[in-house]
Formats: sequence, structure tokens, C-alpha cells
Amino acid sequence: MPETPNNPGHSESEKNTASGSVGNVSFIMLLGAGLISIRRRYIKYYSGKFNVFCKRHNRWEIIYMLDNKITRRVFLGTTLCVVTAPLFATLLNEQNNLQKVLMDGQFFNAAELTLLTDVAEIMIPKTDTPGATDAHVIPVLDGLMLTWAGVKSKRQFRFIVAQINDLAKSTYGSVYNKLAFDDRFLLIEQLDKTAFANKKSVLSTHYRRLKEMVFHIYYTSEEANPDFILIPGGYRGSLSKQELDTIQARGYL
Amino acid sequence: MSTQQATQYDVIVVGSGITGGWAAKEFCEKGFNTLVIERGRHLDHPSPEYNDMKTPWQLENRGLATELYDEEGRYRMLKAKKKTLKTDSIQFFVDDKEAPYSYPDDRPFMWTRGHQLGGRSLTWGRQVLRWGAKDFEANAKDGHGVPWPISYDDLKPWYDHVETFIGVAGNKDGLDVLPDGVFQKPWQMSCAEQSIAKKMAEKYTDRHLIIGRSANLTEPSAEQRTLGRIACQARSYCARGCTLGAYFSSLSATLPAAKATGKLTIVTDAIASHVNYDEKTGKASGIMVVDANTLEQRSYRARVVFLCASALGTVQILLNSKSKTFPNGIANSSGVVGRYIMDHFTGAVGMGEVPGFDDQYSYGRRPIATYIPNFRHEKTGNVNFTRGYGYQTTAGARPSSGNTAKREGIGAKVKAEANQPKPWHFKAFMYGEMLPYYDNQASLHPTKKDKWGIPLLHIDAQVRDNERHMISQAAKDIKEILEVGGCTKIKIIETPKDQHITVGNRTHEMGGACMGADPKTSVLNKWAQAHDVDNLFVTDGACMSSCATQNPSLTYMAITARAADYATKLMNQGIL
Ligand SMILES: Cc1cc2nc3c(=O)[nH]c(=O)nc-3n(C[C@H](O)[C@H](O)[C@H](O)COP(=O)(O)OP(=O)(O)OC[C@H]3O[C@@H](n4cnc5c(N)ncnc54)[C@H](O)[C@@H]3O)c2cc1C
Repeated sequence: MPETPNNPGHSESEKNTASGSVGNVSFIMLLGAGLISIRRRYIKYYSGKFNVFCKRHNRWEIIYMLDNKITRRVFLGTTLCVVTAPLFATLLNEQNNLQKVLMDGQFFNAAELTLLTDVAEIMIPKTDTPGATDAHVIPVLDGLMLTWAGVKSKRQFRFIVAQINDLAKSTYGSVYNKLAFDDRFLLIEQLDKTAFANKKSVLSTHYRRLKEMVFHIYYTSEEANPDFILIPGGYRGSLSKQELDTIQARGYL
Repeated sequence: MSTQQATQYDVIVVGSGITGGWAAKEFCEKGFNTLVIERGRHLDHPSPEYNDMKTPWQLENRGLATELYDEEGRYRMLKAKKKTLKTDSIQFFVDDKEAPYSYPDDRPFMWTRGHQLGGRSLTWGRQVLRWGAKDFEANAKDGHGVPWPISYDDLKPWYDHVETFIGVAGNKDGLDVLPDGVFQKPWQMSCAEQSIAKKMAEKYTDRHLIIGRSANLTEPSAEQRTLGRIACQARSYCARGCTLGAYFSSLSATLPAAKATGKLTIVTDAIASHVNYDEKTGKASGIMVVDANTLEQRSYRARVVFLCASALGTVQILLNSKSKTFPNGIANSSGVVGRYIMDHFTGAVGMGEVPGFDDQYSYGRRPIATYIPNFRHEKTGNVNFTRGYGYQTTAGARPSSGNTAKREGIGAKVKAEANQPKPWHFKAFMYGEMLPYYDNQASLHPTKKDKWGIPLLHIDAQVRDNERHMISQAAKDIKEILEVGGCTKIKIIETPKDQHITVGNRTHEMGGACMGADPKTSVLNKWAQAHDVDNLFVTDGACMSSCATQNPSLTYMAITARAADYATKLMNQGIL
């Protein structure tokens, strides 16, 4: 089976100037203060250019191994062919409640990732169950742009970000990332309605493509499938809810 | 330049799929040195290529195959078949760009292949249904195709033999049209399926809804355990390969059994281009192969040759085996090689809700569907067609409302409403018997060759009026069955008469070297032995004289085991 590269080095990285301190923000958010000192050593070591960060990706993986939970979440699966999705350093803009992504991804730049992360979370928000951000939808999408997307999709996904920004500007006179949360929500909600009401427009096609991928990634994530049982052990075709819940809780028949 | 391999084998088996694995096992277990020639790559069992132990979030690209395939025009037919190319099992399917074949522009033929050790035994649906007596009598009775030279009784002991080894979970339903076999514990029907089955039984004497018969172990025998096979865990990830060996494949069962004898040699990456024919002896002397990687040509010698390269793969080899005696392909004095290409077809799909079970749920992923066997063997009433159809059906799992990825709706509310249990839903796909038409033909392309220098197979097959008439009636019948079964919100989809039906779509391609008593009108005798060349046997789907309505592989296996047994007797007697 052709294996997709775990960690593609690419020219996108050259333009990124994320520094160690940017990394710190992400670690604080992800791992809590207890691990920061360990991180710092590496951050210092890897501070500077993003391409160094990429190249040493596997070393990061080793560090993350210190925290199993994070490892599972950050590196989805352990085999080479799985898309790795490094979490992005983010900073909350408290004024408009927007998680600003501070570093470029493998395909999207930081501003694009910020917009996409927000749109995905509007589509599938955190409620009593995890949302798109919890399920790392956009980091995974960013990885898929290299391992899955063809030329057309790459163009479409980049273009839809620009189109959403254009829409924001023509509606509210500002780029998307500067809008208040309510405006952002209304904008995407309206876009969703229009896109399905008139499927012929280019905007609709691109938006529906994005939405489909966001949903696909979310609903195939571990976070969205807490009840998933890989090895059911058998089949039953007439169970009461109570019987089903008991089996589910046990995790096997 | 070709090289001749020094070893003379007793038997060469071309292909390591469902039938090749069986031939290898039977010959090896009877003490014959057997060489299996396989065009695909080597695979171990369990193989690192199996994806059955992966969760949805662990699959490469979250299950989506790279779009590069589309951009490069690869896997076109597989995409037409499956709509979306998936990473869970794409490695077990052939890219038609790499291994092309040909068809008329206005009549695409769908040839779904698996070029690897184990062939399509890795990805098959594992529905294993015996044919009944009427199925073998059909050609003789209505005059279509070539009469079968064997009856159900000839195959019965071989069905028993095969089922015992592969392991079939099935229910003894007591139906003449679908004889019972050697079964392990059947899979359960869901509450919805049971309800429909009960209502059908109250109304009909000829139409039955039964649980499918599945080559997934539910009560592994000692023999199966010795091979390292264990009971199916209801994951239904079978097409990804099964680490547990819980479903029957050549890799998990027949090839290991053959290997255990010490009599088996396997050569992979070796494409059989033709059967070598010895003009002096009038026998096949062996097989010529092209190395898939180096293009080097080599020939292998044996006393007996079994072609098990899948129906159309075998036809290609036969037609390409030209000699002075057989200028149109070996064993083709009748001119029938490549004729009577068949497949099952659908064209009527029925579905409906099954009310009354909103408090019932399912658990586990059952690896098999339910089934309504053919009830139209006899031309009753005013139907305007010959033969009949069955339905592959299911309501095995309670459906969910899904999500709004492809429809309007975002935010917390739609998220909360996603993936909620919906009413039970029953679906039925007609599987019709296509008549054996002489004009449905596979031939060698006059000019085009593949990268190994072998002429492309050109496949020209179509459904005709009889099949179209069947579709109309099947649509009416399934509507009535759903009503009788108590379904509501019934929806029937009938393929319009002017819409092309792609033959090959059901992946049950058959014919091309049919069995028959008369050497002038058929290629093989009742032992699947070539009329023209007595040490050449064809036991894959090419040997079929009609296609019935049941999934065919169990019948291929029974024919293979029976033919191998016959060949070994002739070998022991020194006749071959
Ligand atoms: C998705 C799917 C679902 C199916 N479901 C069912 C089902 O439920 N029930 C059922 O009965 N059938 C089913 N089938 C059909 C079933 O897989 C085939 O009928 C069966 O595999 C045929 O066995 P075979 O040995 O003839 O061919 P294969 O299993 O295809 O094996 C042929 C082998 O020959 C090799 N080969 C081909 N040409 C050459 C050559 N020139 N030289 C050397 N080697 C060669 C191939 O690489 C392959 O390994 C299904 C098929 C598919 C794809």
C-alpha cells in the first residue's frame, strides 16, 4: 500500500517564523504548567525557523509521548500512514472570542487556519460533547491537504477562505477574523442556508466542499465516537435500550 | 528471450484466489507437487496491508483515498462501482489504468479484479449459496446457452466438502431452490427482519426471507482452529483483510493448508501469458509467464494445468494461447472460448420503514445480509421472461439520522440531532439471472497490449429484453413483498429501460469457457476438463454454463475440488 509521508517537509515552512515563545503558548494550553519546563528545553532547541520544527517532528512526537492523552490526540494513531496533525499554537482574542492561530500549518497559513478553525467550531460547536476544535478538525484538514487533496481541492479550500473573507468585508466591512462572534456566526449560518438553497454558485460549491470535509473529519474522530467499539465480539439484532447500554458500557458482548 | 525452469511440477495452478487456493489445497493434500502462479504481489497472512484493526480515525487520510488517483485517471471503474475510493481496502483492488482492458464505448463493462496473492478472496462478500437442481437444469429446459453436463447431485458431496472446510454460518431453511448445507451457527436476524420474514411466511409458500449464508466462522472446527482461524467478531471490516482469519480467504485457509503439506510452491509477480501446447503429445506442457516487474519471460512445466485466474482472466489466457493446432486459442476448436459472458444484474431496488420496533436496537456489525431466494424458476402467470431473480436484502442495523454534512444545518442544535436512531429500514436489491447469450463475448483486442505485452481483453456484454422484462416484474414483486412484510414509506427504484446497465457491476462475471457434453458447442466436459486438451482444466467462473441467481463462488469451489479429485485419479492411473 502506498504510504503517505508522515511528515512532509515542504517549502510552505520557509515563510513561517514561529518562534519558541509561540510554541510555549500552545504548550501551556495543551499540557498545563507541569510540563512546561521540559517543553522549554526543546522549544529552545527548536526555536527559530519552522522548517526545523518540521524536520524534527518525530522528536516532538517523543516528547509528547510523556503525556499519553496528548499523544493520542495530537498524533492520531501510531502508524506511518496516518495523517499527523500537530496542534497549532493559539491565543484567545478575548475581544471577539476568536482563537487566533499563531503559526502556519503545513498547507494553510496562520490567518487561514484561524478562520477555518472558527468556521469549523461554528459548524460543530463544543456543547456537552466535544466540538470541531476538540476533535482537531482543522489540524487534520491541514494535513489532508498534503496527503489527500488534489490540485482542484487545494485551490477550492484556499479559495473558500478568501471568499468568506470577501463576504465578511462586503457584509460587515471587515475581514472575518476581526468580526464579533455574533457576526461571524450569522455570516456562516447565512452562508450555509444560501449554499444549499442555490447549489449552482461557485461559492456554494466551495462552501459545501469545506463543510463536507469538516463534518467528515469530525465524525470520523475519536472525540466524536466515544462509543465506537472496534471488536464488538458478536451481533445482536433485537436489544432493548437498557441491554444495549449495558453491552456498550462493558465494551464487548 | 524466455527461460525454461528446470523443475517439472505435477500440477500448475494459475491464480491464487478463491478457486486457485482450492485447487492448490486439493492437489497438495493428495501428494502432488503443485506450483501456484500468481500475477500479483506476495501477501502474508495476517498481512501488514490489512486494515481491520484500525479505527476510523486511524485509517490513512481518514479513509479517503488520495485525489491524485482521480487526477491521474486511475481506478476509474472502481470509482464508478464504489462512488468513493477508500483507503481501507483500495490496496486489494486493481487500478484499471495499470492493468487496462477494453470495451465498446457505449457499453462499458465493469471488471473488478484483485491482483495479489489470495485474489478477490480477500475482498469478497462471503455470501455462499448453493445452487439448486433447477439451476443446473435451466439451460436444457428453456434452450438458452449450452446444457449443463452436471446436476446438483454431482456437486452435492463437493458442496459438503467445501463448506466443511471453509466454515459457513447458515440456517437450515429447507428450501429446494437453495439447498441446505454443512452449517455452523447462523447469524441472527434483526427484529425488523424477523418480523418481515414472519409476515412473508404467513402469506407466501414460495417467497422466503432468510438469513444469508456467510463464510464467516461462528463455531470454528478443530481443523479451522489449527489453521489459526477464530470465530468472527462481527466487526464487518472483512474487505480490509481479517487478521483473525475469521472469514474464508485463500490466505487464511486454503493456501496455509496446502503449504502445510510441503508440496506447495508459489511464484508471485508472474503473469501467465499463455498455456504452452505440445503439438506432439497434444497436451499442455506448462505455462509461460511474464515477470510483472522485470518483464522477463519464463516457462514452467507440469503434467496438469489448472486455470483459476478468474473467469475473464482465464479467458484471456486461453485466447492468447495460440498454436498451430489452436490458432484461435487453446481448447477452442468449438470457437466458444470467450462466448456466453454473464453476470448478475440489478435494476429493481425496494426499500421501506419497518414500524413497531422503535424500542429495539442492534449491536455489532453483522457481516452478512439477509436473502430472498429466487421464486420465479417457473414461468407462472403472464410474466414475459425466462428464469428469475432473488433479492439481497438487509435491515441488520438500525439506521441513524446521520449528520448535515450534505444538507443545510450547522450549530449546536443540528449537532444534538445528529446520528439519532431512526426507524428500522429494510432494503432489497434484485439479483437477476442473465441468460447466457452467445453474442456476449470477450475477445483479444486486435492491436492494444498492456505493458507486459499481452493483448488487452475486449469485453462486449449487455443485458437484453429478457433482463429488462425481469426488472419490471422484480420491481412489482418487491413492492408487494414489502407491503406484505408490513413496511411503510415504501420506495421502489426501477432502472429505466433506456438506461445502460453495466454488466460486471455485481462482480459475478461468469462464462467464457462453458461446460457441456458436446465438444462442438462447449469448451469443457463435465469434469471442467478441456474437450480438446485433456490435461487442461478450467475451474473458475469461466466454466459456468449459466449464472443462476445465487452468488457463485461456492459453486466454483465445489467444481474445483471435484475436478481436482478427478484429475488426481487420472494422474494416479497414469492417464495424465
Ligand atoms: C466486493 C466483492 C464482493 C463479492 N461478494 C461475493 C459474494 O458474496 N459471494 C460470492 O460468491 N462471490 C462474491 N464475489 C465474487 C468472488 O470474489 C469471485 O467470484 C471469486 O473471487 C472468484 O474466484 P477466482 O479464483 O475465480 O478469482 P479471484 O479470486 O479473482 O482470483 C484470481 C487470481 O488469479 C490471478 N490472476 C489473474 N490473471 C492471472 C494471470 N494471467 N497470471 C497469473 N495470475 C493471474 C489474480 O491476480 C487473482 O489472484 C465478490 C467479489 C467482490 C470483488
